Amino acid sequence: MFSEASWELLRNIMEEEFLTAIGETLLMTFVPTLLAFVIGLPLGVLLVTGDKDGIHPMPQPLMQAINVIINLLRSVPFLILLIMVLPLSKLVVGTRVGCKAMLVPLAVAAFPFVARLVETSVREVDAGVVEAAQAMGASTLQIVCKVLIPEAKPALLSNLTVALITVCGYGAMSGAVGGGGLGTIAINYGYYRPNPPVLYAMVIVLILLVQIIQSIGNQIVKRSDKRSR
Amino acid sequence: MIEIKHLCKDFTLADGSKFRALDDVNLDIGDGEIFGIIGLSGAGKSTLVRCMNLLERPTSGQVLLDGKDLTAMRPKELRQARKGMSMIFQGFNLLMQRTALENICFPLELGGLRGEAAWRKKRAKELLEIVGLPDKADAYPSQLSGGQKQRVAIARALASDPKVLLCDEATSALDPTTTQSILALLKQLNRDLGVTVVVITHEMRVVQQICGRVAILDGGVIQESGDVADIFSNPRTEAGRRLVMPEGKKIHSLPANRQVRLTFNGLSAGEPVISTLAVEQGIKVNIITADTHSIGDETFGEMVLGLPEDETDAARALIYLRDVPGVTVEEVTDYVQ
Repeated sequence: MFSEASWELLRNIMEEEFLTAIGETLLMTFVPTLLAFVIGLPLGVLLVTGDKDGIHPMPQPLMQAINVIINLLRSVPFLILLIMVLPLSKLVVGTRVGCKAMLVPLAVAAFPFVARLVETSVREVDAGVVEAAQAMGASTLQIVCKVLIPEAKPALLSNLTVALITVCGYGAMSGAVGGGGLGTIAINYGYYRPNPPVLYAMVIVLILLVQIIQSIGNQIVKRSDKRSR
Repeated sequence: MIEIKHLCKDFTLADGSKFRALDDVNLDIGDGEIFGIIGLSGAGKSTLVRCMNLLERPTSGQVLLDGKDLTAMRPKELRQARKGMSMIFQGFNLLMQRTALENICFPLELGGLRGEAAWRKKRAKELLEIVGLPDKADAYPSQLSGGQKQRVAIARALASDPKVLLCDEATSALDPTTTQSILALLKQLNRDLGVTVVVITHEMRVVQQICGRVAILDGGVIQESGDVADIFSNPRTEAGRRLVMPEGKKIHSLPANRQVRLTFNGLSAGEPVISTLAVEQGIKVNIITADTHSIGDETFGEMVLGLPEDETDAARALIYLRDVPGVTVEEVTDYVQ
């Protein structure tokens, strides 16, 4: 169906570049997601607790400003955001190309998304349980650490899976501007050349990767949730 | 123990207008008593109990716990004070991701209560023992029945050695048998630990069974309060009568001219008063409603009679009834609504 040369190229890539590429893809998936949670988790919790009906209302102009910033960042298409943030990458990791350079823009793109996911997870925690904790004399910080986050844990883990998959997709897109990983191989060899076997092979690997992340995520969520037994 | 002075609570509605949920509420709940607050839904009961530990901040008025004004406290002092006043809820409000034992440890982890993890665990186990669930330490709330969940919630409430236990419709989600066992447990805790219990409910039976004193709340106002036996045998207000005889509405269509309400105290509840009236005086009366309840160890009877149309007979019946010892007679006109 495809030419002998196409298969030959795919074989070469699988032998020489594939392992590095999949390592880069995993790096570009997990590290930015982790960074995004480091920023997005407190931010998402703040969006709930700082609400005017929340357990620790904050000045409402501040809350509105946070909301606007999150919405702004979320409405910029990822590739555009990526290009806009690359100068920051140069500053932080010292380069604009390659897998490492992508970590910063990926985290910047993912944290507003993660903040919203955390917000919805935390809002689902039963208000009665929070009220019980308040009645027992728990402080705001204690409620956050001992009630909101532990009670929202299954939802948070489920959303962590969603975030990982989204970031994995973003990472593949970054191949278009000299990122790294499987996306770069798919675009450089599969699309620009063009070489369909390489393109399809990379897509299949990405699909498998997403499936694996999702099913591991589902298992962990199921095991961690004590509500259904 | 708890003193409530001129407490008012306004809520601002969506259209900006104010709604007064509680209006000049005054209560004095004594040390070691079981105090009931009864009212129909919307009467302001839950708002009142939430004002007691300041989950709702009163618009005006004071809440004194052991003479200390909660409304004047800083947040930190208030959190400390709340540890002396636990609360249980209709919906149990247990942490779903924690086991029964871990739920009971929760208040012990909040600081101000010293102790290592091992100590907390030991204390939690003792509490599980007290509430009768020693074998459920490692069960998650989703594996427990409603009654068991409420027992865990009670154990959790007791963990901080509170002086007061606020019960907000604590048995309303439970079936009658389970309700009985939870009420018995509350009574036992009151007796054994000396904890003051405040019971918020819409169920008369709950109050009858465990409360010494009761306040009737209607429209955000305390209509009357006093000993349960007094209030239930002789409610003075419309709201009181509606709660004590919830079937009052049905009486409306009955064709009696004048109606009297008889209350039999413990001594007279066994007397055949109506038969005697009919046989000896030859006066026939309509029995409109009749009921007996037990308050503490005594039995109280209550009856609404329709008097004969004939004025003379009606007057004779009244004279006779007023003479029977242990019976309170009262003409009722206003409660038929």
